[in-house]
Amino acid sequence: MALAVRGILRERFYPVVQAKRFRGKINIQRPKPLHFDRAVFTELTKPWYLNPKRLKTPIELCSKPTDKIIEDVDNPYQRIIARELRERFDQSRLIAFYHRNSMNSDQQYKAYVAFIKAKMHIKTYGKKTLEMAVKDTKFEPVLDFYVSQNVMVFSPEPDIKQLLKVTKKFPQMVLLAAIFEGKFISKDEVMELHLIPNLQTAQAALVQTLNSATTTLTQQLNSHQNTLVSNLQERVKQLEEHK
Amino acid sequence: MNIQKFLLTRRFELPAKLLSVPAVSVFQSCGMKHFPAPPTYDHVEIPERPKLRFVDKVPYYAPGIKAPKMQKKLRLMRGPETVHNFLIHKQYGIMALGGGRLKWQHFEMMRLAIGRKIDPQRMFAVWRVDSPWQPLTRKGQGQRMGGGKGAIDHYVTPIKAGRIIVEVGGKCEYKEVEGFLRDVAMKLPFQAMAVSQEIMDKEKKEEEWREKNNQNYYTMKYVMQNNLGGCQRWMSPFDFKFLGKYL
Repeated sequence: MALAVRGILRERFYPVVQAKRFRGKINIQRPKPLHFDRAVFTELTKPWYLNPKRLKTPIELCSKPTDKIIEDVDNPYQRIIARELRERFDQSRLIAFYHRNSMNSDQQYKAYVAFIKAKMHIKTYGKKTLEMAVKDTKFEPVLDFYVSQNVMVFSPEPDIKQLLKVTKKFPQMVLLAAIFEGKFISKDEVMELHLIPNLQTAQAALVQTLNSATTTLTQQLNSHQNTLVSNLQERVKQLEEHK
Repeated sequence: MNIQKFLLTRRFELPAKLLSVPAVSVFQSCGMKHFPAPPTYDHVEIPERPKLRFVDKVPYYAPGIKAPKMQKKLRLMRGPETVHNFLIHKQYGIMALGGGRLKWQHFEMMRLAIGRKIDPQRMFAVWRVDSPWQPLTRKGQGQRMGGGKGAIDHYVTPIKAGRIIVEVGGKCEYKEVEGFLRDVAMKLPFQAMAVSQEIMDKEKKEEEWREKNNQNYYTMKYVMQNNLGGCQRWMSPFDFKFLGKYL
């Protein structure tokens, strides 16, 4: 044991202190490949994020391209047109709704001219514009039959006869319904209204119906006298011809 | 061989495309065309000299003064740019993504390329870097070591990552300038990209999101600051400053 202690004391222990300075010269454009330890640290400290799809329902994960879905953008020009349409609806006494089958531009122009001559305006609007104009008003049911190619005719005067006269010339324009003096009427009702004559004639007809009882009575009472008078007149004519 | 047996024994795999139902149905609809108003640039003022000014090859020294030589100072290229890293005119520019040095030739290339492409009536460009000022020395070819420092060969401008090199502005959209700015950026001696104010804002927001939503608790910053795994043993002084983000 004493020998061991002497051995330790005899051996000198010189602590080695190495001052290390960083070389510091790096090539910023061509960086050195990382030391293994640093590379390991870099790899372990790489960030990772939760999958954004993880709490989504299948319908949300649907791969339908959402950028193709065009959202409604407020179009000031469309608003102006819709306002104009609304004014037309309020001011026109007769509005007719047509389904337009395909026709030539020539035919379309002829129809336009024919309606203009009858002092009516033929107008085509999109469903979106109509919706803007007519939503939350009494005219909202118009949207129900605005399905395919639709056309509207606005007339300041409630002239059904003229309307139907012009419509007859263009079989591609199919009358669907109309608004007469602010009331919705179907096609059959339009036909009925068409058959009604003007006010004076209608009044005359009414008067006739009211007087029908008395007129039939007078007719029946005077029937014999009338036949006698007519027969005598016939005889007078015969005698004159004979002369 | 019996056909039925054949069909039953074989496995048929139809490609998924044949059986899949398309998720999108396309139908034509004609709506009223919407022409939104174009963006106004009335707030933008175009300076008198819209093109990039000529940049000297050699910095001016008073007569009689010998041009001083300088240390290499690679630290001027290291790390992020903290001062000139935003757009003054808030429109478009070129941003450096890495460190490097711009020589006079690079300046000329940028000046001529941008000068050719911009419309001086409504667009302008400005330098966001100094003209070359740092002298770089070179010894003659085949010279042995020793004999003093070499003579000044040329001057450069050191650039740090994130620096704005050139700004382009005026009554123009990003799409107009992106093309030639990207071409110029590709020719620079470091990684660079064409940027606009929107891109920079977006990038900033994304960076914030990334920092906030990183699920890895052990970021390089955390590891280095807390000396995990004894990493401070091999970290350089620049690592202590940049915490692993920049070399």
